[in-house]
Amino acid sequence: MSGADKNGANPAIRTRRLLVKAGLLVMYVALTVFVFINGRSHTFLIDNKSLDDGAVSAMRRVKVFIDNQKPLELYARDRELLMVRGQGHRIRIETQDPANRLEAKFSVPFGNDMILISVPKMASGADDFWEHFVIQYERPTNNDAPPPTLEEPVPIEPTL
Amino acid sequence: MKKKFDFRRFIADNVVVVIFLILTAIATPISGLSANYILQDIITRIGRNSFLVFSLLLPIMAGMGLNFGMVLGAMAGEIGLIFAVDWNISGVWGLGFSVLVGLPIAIILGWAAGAVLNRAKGREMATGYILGFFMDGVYQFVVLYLMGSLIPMRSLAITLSRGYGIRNTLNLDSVRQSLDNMMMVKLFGLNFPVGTFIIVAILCLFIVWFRKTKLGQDMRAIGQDQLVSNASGIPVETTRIIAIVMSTVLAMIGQVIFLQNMGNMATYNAHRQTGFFAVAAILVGGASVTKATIPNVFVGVVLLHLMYIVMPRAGAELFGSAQIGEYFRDAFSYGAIALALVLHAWRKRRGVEIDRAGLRMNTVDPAAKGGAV
Repeated sequence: MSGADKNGANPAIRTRRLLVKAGLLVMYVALTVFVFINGRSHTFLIDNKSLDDGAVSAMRRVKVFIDNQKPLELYARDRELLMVRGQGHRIRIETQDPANRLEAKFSVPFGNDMILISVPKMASGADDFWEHFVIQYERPTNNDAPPPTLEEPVPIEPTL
Repeated sequence: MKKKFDFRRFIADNVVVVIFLILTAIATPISGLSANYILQDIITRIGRNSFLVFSLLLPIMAGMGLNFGMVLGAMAGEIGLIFAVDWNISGVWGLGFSVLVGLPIAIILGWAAGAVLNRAKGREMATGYILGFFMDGVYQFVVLYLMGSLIPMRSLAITLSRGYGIRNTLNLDSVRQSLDNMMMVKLFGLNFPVGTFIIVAILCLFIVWFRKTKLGQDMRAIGQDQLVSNASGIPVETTRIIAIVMSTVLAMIGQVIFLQNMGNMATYNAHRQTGFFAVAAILVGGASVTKATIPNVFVGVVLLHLMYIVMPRAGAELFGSAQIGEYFRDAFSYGAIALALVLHAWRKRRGVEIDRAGLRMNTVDPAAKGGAV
C-alpha cells in the first residue's frame, strides 16, 4: 500500500491524529492556566484606621462586603482578615459616616498573596486604597538556638 | 441443566471474604461502638478510599495482576498537592489543580512502569512492588533536594528551614475536605459526602462503559490469553502499557481525594502504604489476582475498614490495650493478601494438574479446576 505508513495509517489519518493530540495539549494547558488563575487564594487585611499623615480618618462604624462573602463589621482602629479567591474583586461598604465612594472594583496583581485594604481611603475616593502587604519572614539561624545548658546531662537508661 | 449449589465450593471460592466477615462479626459487639459511629466512619472511608481501590481494576482486567506500582500515581498526586498548597490554590480548585499537575507526571510514570512490566511478564506484581520502592527514592530526591533549590517554591511555610526541601508534614487546610463538603447531605443523623460519591459513581460508569469498548475488550482478551490475543492482532504490549497508565492516573486522582479528606499529608510516607491498603481491600472484597469486579471494591472497602474501625477498640476491651487490636488488624490485612496469593497459586497449579489428567483420560471438567484459567 503506497499511501499507508508503517503503522497502517495513511497520512491524512496521521495528520488528524496529530491535530487531535495538539488540541488536547492546548486544552490541557488552557485548563491548567484557568484553574491556576481562578483558584488562587489571597488574604485581605481590611483596615479601618486613620492614615499616619492625617489625610483620612477612621470611620466610627462600617460594614464591608467583599465579593459574595459574609459582611464584616468594623469599628474605628479595627483590622479584619479575610480569605478570598480569584484575581478580580468587588468591595462595597455601608456606613453612616460621610463617604465619597461606596463601591470599588480592583484586580490583585499576579503573585501577590496578601493585600492591605484601607476602607477610609477607599471611602475618600482614592484609587490607591489597597497595597501589597509583605510579611518579613526571617529564617531561624544557628544564633537563635537556645544556649547549652550548664546542668549535668541526665543519663539515659536503656528501656525495654 | 441447572447447576447444583455447592456450599463447600462457595466457601472455598470466597474464603477471604468469609474469614473477614467472621472476624468483624466477632469484633464488632466486643468493641462496644455504636452503630451510628461505625456507619458514619464507614461512609467516610468509602468516599476516601474507593477511588484508590478502583485504580486496581484495569490491570487485573489486562492480566497484569495487582498493580502494586499504583504508588507511582500516588506520588504524582502528592506532587500536585504540594504545588497547589505552594501557590495557595484553595478548595475544589486546588484539587483540580493538583490533578492537572499530577496528570502528566502520572502518565509518564505509568508509561515507564508499563514498559518495565512488559519486560517482566508473569512477575508483574513483584516488579511493580520493587518499582514503587525505586520511585520512592526518586520522589524523595525531588521533594527533599530539588524543590526549593532547582524547582522554585514560593511558600516559606512549607519549605524546610534550611531553604530547600518540603517539610515532613504538609498542612492541607486550604483544600481540606473541600470535595466532601461540596455537597454534604445529612440523612438519618449521618453525613453523606455526596460530591465524592458522585465522582466515584462516575468512575464506576466509566469502567462499565470502558469494558465494552474496543480497548476494554482487548484488555480482557489479553487477560485471558496473551498469545492468542497477539495472534489475533491485538497490540498486547501497548494495551498493557495503557492499562498501567490508566491505573496510575486513577491512583493519582484517588490519592488527591484521599488526602483532601485527611487534611494533612505525610510528605515522605503518605504513598508508601497506599498500594498495600488498596490491594488488601480489593482482595478482602473477594477479588483474585485474575478477576475483580466493581462490587468487590465496595465489599472490600467496607469489610477491611470495618475491621480497622472495630479492631483497636475490641483489642482494648479484650486485652486492655488498643495496640493489640492494631497488631491484629495489620496481621489480618497482610494475611488477606498472603492468603489470596497462595489461593491463586494453588488454584492455578490445580487447574494445570486437572488439565493434564484430562488430557490423559480425554475428559476435562472445568468446574473441578476451581475457577482457574
